[in-house]
Amino acid sequence: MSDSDSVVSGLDIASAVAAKRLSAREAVITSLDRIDALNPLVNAFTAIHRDRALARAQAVDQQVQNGQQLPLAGVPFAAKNLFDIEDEITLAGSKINQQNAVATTDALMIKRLEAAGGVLVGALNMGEFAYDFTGENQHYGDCCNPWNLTRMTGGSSSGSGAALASGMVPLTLGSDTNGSIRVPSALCGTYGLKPTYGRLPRTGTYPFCDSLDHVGPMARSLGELVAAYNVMQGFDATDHVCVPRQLDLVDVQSSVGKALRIGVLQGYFAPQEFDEATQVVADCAKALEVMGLAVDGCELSLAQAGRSAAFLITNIEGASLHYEKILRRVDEFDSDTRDRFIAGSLLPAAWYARAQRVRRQYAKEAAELFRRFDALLAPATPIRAPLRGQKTMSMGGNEVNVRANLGYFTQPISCIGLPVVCAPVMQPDFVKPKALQSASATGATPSMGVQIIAAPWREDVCFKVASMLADAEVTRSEVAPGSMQD
Amino acid sequence: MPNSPGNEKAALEAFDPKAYMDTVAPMILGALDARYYEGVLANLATAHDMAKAVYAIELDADSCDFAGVFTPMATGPLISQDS
Repeated sequence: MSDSDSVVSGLDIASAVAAKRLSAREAVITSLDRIDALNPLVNAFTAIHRDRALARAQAVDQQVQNGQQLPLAGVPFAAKNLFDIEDEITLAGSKINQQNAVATTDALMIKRLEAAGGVLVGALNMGEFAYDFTGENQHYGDCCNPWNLTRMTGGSSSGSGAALASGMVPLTLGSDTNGSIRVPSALCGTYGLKPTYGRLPRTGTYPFCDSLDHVGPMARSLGELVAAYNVMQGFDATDHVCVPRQLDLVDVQSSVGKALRIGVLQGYFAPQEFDEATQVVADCAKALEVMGLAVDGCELSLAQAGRSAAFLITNIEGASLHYEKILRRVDEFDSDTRDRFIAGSLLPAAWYARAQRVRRQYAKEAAELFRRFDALLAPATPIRAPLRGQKTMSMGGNEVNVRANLGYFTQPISCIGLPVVCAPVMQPDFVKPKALQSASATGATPSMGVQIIAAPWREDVCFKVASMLADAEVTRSEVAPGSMQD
Repeated sequence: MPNSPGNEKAALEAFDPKAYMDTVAPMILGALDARYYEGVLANLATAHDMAKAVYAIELDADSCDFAGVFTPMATGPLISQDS
């Protein structure tokens, strides 16, 4: 048995702690030990909050002793380092933020997970200021894909994906502006939820692009993702885009799903040159059809325009946020983000306004499509994890920038705020390695991802379809080997 | 305007990222350092391609500017309601 086979799921931890067969302290120490062993190789964590975690675990054990029901009792989790952690500096992947004051309180999503019994164990690596699809970071080092350390994790929630795939923690928090939860989920082989825009409050997170920023959970199983999502919900007026809604608690065993109509996105989302990505979607569609669901092809004709609108809105809002720093501290940026922010600070205002108008029109087109379909399927990334340091990839007969184009399929979806579950699909050539792939390994990583997309506020539909695919074993997440020797 | 390109799409076609950057950057950011000149230019060219894609869409007749991030905030009851 490989040591990765002994990694316990978050839900198993929660039930064992609730039944007093395991203490939260034991669960947290196991997680911390694995982080100590693997983080020097994977570089998923930028801070490990051992004392805080052990104190919190002790409190959870006491709450359980007192008879409290905690759905995430003793579940270790970690947060992308743009989430505020009390008494810590919120880095957002940057060197510049090192001079900021410490946060005075935890981000709201951390508070809600801990209120449910979760235990924060540390802060996770990420692309600078979240402007990244690669997982590379010039200040804190690249986050390495646990399936092959020479490969990218995807970003910008790089540590969030790598910490899960390596079995360090069963649950992480990420953020997604254009694909930053979904791209690392696909490339690391984990589950991720990008909720409806305005669903989960971003309170206590470092912003990137207000018009497009989302926060969400990532996990190695759908059950853990649902459990986290259910306790993360709830209106908070501090985030001005958060919409006051009742809690839409998800139960994947519910009857939703009996007669779901599935649309397989074609056109923009099915370029022939990315046959591996389109095959992932075709396999998922076929499995759903076999289960009796109605499946048909469909198109979002404005997807390219929507992707372009998201690009411009992100570039201009992000540059505006960092304009003062560009003027005064430009050499302290990661060079890849620096050049993008500088360019964004020069763009005409008319382009931004036009992009917002196109976004609205594109959202109308999507709303029409959801009259015919309950859920849409699309690939998550065009290719498997590129090599770290790789700057370009082939697309449409041209060599295009990897950093901008790993999110080719995700960017048009977040542009209009639709909820998405990104589910991992292990490729047919997948053979679980016995040991962590060394820095000289040249093999491909095993996973790609499928985006399961629903109409706004219908995360339950995303989860139901994802659950059906997981039950059919079309999608699944695995833990990468945990040491070079095992 | 003299030498106006005539419409939005023609203006976009006439847009020259390098000339634009050389003209505008000194007024917004100061002189661009040679170390990042090419990187910024490449990103500006990509943004130009993206702008062409958003201008290629015919907007609906009822389309209006969309304030994506603005929410009006009430400060308290209106005076007429107080009296």
